[in-house]
Amino acid sequence: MIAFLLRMVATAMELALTAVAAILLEAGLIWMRARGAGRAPPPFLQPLFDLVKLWRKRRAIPEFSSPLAPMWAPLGVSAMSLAAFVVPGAFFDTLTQPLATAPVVIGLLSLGRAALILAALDAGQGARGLSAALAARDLVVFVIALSLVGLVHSEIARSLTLVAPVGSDTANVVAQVLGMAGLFLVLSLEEIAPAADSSGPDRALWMVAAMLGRVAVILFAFDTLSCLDIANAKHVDSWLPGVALFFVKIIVAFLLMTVAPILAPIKRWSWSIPAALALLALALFLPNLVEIPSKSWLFIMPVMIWGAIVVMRRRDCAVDSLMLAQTGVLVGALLAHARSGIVVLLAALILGRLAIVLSARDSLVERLSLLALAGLPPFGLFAGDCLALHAASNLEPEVVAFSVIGLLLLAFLVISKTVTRVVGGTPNRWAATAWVVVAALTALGVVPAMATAMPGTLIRWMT
Amino acid sequence: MRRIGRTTRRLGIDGGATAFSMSAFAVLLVLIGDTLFGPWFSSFMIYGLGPFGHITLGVDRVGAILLMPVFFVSGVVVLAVPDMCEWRFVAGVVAFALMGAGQDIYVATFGILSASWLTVGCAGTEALLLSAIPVCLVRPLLALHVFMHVGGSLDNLLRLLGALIAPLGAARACNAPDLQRYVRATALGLSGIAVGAFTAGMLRVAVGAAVLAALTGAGLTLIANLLRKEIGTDEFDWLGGLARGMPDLSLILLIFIFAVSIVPPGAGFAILLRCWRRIAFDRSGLAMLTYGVGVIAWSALSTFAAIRAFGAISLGRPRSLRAAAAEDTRDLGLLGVLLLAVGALLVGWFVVPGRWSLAVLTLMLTGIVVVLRWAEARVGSDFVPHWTEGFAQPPVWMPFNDPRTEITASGFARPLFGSDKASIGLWSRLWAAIRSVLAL
Repeated sequence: MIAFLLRMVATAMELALTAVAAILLEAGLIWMRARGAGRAPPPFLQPLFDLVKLWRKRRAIPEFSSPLAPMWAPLGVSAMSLAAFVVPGAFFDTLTQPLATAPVVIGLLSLGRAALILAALDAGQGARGLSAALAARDLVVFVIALSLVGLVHSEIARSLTLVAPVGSDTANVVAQVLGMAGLFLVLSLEEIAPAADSSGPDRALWMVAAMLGRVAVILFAFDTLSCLDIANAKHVDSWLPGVALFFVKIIVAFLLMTVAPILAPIKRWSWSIPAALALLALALFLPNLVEIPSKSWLFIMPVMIWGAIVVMRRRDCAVDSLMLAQTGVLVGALLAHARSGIVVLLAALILGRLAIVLSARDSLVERLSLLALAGLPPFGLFAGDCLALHAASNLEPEVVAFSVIGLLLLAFLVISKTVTRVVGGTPNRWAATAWVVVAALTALGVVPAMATAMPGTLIRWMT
Repeated sequence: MRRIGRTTRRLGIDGGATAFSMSAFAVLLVLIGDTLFGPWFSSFMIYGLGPFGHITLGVDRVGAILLMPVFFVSGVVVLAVPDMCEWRFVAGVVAFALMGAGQDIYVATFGILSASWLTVGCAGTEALLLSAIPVCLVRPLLALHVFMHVGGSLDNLLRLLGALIAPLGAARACNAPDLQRYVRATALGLSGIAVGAFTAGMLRVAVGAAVLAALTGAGLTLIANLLRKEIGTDEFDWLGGLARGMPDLSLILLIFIFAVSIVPPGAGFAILLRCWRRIAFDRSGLAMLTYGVGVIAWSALSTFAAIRAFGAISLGRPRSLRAAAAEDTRDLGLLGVLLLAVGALLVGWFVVPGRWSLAVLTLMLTGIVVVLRWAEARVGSDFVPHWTEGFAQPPVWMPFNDPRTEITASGFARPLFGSDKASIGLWSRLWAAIRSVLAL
């Protein structure tokens, strides 16, 4: 009886925490966007004031809407709220635990989005119809990305429950991190829903649905990661750390969602990055499942590197092809279990991408960033490539040789096509920040090179 | 009888035909009950027939479930088309029944071939053929497994085939220009799910998916016939806004269309839940994982297809004058289709693992919707005129504005698939990228 009461209280707390997190996250994002655009932000709790204000207005029903039109907004909120409340956030073993599985959450989120799209189609307007079509396309990507990440988690954890623990195998953890990154990109890059022809209470309901849906995906992503602790509803002493961790998750999500749009290359790829990351997560997980020795999968590395050369030759897009090649090396590092190589490569790839985004077009910083992405010394990717290729050469030396030739050719192409151009550069307010990032990239490469001068413990840690 | 007579007069239906169809339907219901709740397995051999000197007929529980859609749909067709008393139709149903009851491959082949040629040209043929999907699909698979002891590599091959067919069918449904093609494509997708599930040892999912394909296929085919009769076409680009004039039909359509998607609490959702459970715990190799990915792709695409089809038919503004003028006809045909829709809803109940969880989920969903709807209704509402989005005012003979200013079903699918003129679609861009890499 006491256990049931505790579970009931924990469920109520979970509901309250989710609602608070939804409001705080929305308020924080509005504040951050206003700051980013150079405007004075509105009061922090403006979303809450908006909801109250909209709820007091009368509903406006478009002339040609169907008899089903009043149902879409309540249906959307109902599905999104259930999805948010079902996903474990601060507690597990609550009363909603039997429903906390990936397919249930995905189904509910799909229902919420479907209601939103149908609402946009209801009044029969052209622009709304187009935005509904784009949202439906995004729904396909959303469902595939979410399902792949959920499937990888279920397979690794051998459990349907979302918070089931998984092993600490590097490939598994990296697979889950990639999946989580994809989900955050989905969250941060997508347009929030086609604005249905709604006003007053309907508008308020759609706002609530969007907030809750966002929290649901965030908690889903963290649950699939599974290395974070969560409070047990039956043990009161674990409640406080669980609640604290819940807010830490929301803060980390907020930071990721504000950084992700900067890191993502360009807007038009917004649909493809999450799907590619989810697929990559699945590909990384594959060797665990099919019992194929990892060295047999090493051929992926030269294929991606030489594919990058093809892309470079045909499309002349240096950044994309370099990212493709370095991702190939990263895959090789994962398969060869080169732990330090994986860390250095991931960090350097993120920093390199960030430097490209922050630097002015055709400026010196951009050229340096391209050199860094090409894996040339003294930047961090050079060190990462060396560690990865060294580890891989123990498995398949021929494949590594072929990869090295490809990397050298790619570097030569980048130097000849991009870096040697005579350029002036345009002023950019982020230029100073870009220099800091390039400095970090250089440090990442230089430090391992200086390892001989370091104490033995540090050398062992680095290598 | 007097009450039935009054009802039929009110519905404008001939009394004799109604009595005939209702009695036929009652006989079929009795037959279904007998096969479902009678002895689970009964078989007998007839000597002197067939190439092997004898044939074996029998009905077990799975066979009864597989046969149920055939009887159910044929009953509904008889209800929906009251003057339909062609002997060939009845003979076709008997042939399908023979196939379902046949315990060897000879009888099964004999049944399906006979039924096919017997029913060609009859009213409701397509619905009947679609209703035979379970018996035509699962029965041969069962025969292969039980009687020929086939497994292993063939299982893997069939699983891969299912993983390919399921998303392919859903993708065709996303692009279908009319309701009839949509029906065929969804049936194809569900058949892929069924084949893969059967070889993965999920007999319940296989039978559920096949029965769902049969019921939704037959029901939507009857609705397509109805639309052709009332509006003159079942092409998505000429429909639209039917929820105003035909609310009953739209509600039934909603049930059918969203049953084949992962939206809870539909049957597609139940299939996803059951498949997920199996895929998550199975470590039998790449074929199973490929099937899992196929199921995921099917679920995403079929949800897209469902949104597109329902939006194009029932929502928005009418795209033709006949669509604007269409109204519900509350007759036995509509009742029959409603029965099929209820059947499609119940399929999910039989497939889903943890039925009470699904029931609780549905109750919670409904409860929140009701509360919110009640709270919203209290604040009052106003009708606002249609915003023409800057287009010129339409002429008076277009009471629902110019349909060219509204998105069509073809346009809705463009962001996903692209068009011949401009490669803006997701798949077109992917294919272009692959082609450019391969071309060097």
